[in-house]
Amino acid sequence: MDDREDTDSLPADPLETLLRGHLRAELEPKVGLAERRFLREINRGRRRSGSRLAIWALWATGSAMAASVGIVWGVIQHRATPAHMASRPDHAATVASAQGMRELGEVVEYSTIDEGTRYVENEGPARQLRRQVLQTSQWYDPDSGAQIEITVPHEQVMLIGMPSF
Amino acid sequence: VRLSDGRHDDGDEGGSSELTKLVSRAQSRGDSAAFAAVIRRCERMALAVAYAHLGDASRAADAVQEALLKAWQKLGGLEDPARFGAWLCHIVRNVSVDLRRQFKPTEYIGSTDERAVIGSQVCDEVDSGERRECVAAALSTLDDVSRSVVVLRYYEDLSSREIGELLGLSAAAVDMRLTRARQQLRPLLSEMIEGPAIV
Repeated sequence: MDDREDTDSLPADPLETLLRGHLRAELEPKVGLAERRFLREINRGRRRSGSRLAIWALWATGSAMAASVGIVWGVIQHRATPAHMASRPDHAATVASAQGMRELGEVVEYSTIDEGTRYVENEGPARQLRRQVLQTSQWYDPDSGAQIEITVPHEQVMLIGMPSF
Repeated sequence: VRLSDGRHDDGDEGGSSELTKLVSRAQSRGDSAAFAAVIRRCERMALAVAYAHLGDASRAADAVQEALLKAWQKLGGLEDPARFGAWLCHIVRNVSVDLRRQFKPTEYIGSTDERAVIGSQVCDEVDSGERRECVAAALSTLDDVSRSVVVLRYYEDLSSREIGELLGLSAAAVDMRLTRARQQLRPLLSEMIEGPAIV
């Protein structure tokens, strides 16, 4: 039984009128606050997520570059100072020669994989992209006639906040 | 459950199926715009439930905001989008209970009968400025469930069946609580209903 429908045709009960008036006066001014708070939190989350992603991407790129430089430097040093030459008096000249190697070229291969939507806690949905990079550099040592090739893999995961409007 | 559909000018038409679609969209795509529309539809119901538990409109609004943010975060755990109203109602009740614990009044409130006497005394000396406190005092004499039933009926204008779905009661139980609540409130608010006696 639905007594709301049953009482529709009856004169308004003063008690019901009083309660309706009281509740409306109390609660109506509060309507809309929840939506505003929700949208504020969502926007704050997006801004936080954006700056966090930017910092993360910067950090990842920086780390990859540092690792690449480190590897290249290590290889050059290794080539420049082979064990059997370490005690030779012309060691300094050899290092100078190694440092003077000619760069033949660099090949960079990219592959970007869309890994779909991810839900980032407290941040909302984001699109996850995995970018894989193979960076191959070649040098030629005119003194020894050796050719050096270094391949450095990079991987970058990017989370891009999805606009939901 | 039909929620606030008729009261908005946001162009949304339709009843619970529209709400279910919006909930599904918010759930599957993480669509915050869809969830904002859900909030517009459900906020009054949530306010009614929180107010029934807290007895204060400002604290009820705080509870509703917290509850809706929680609902957004936990939306993935909702198995049946058609049951969103009852699910949200449950979250609002839990948040309200937590808030009530945090702001527990220090003064002794007394038993239901004692509060009825206090409510009656307050309402003997009613003027326009005291009406609000008087009705609030009278409502505070009801138990939580009956107060929820009264607030959902007279604020959200929900039917007994709809109130029952939200609170986990049968329509008959809702009607019974409503009848008893009116019987309990009427003498407490008689001064305001009938006007002061002329001597």
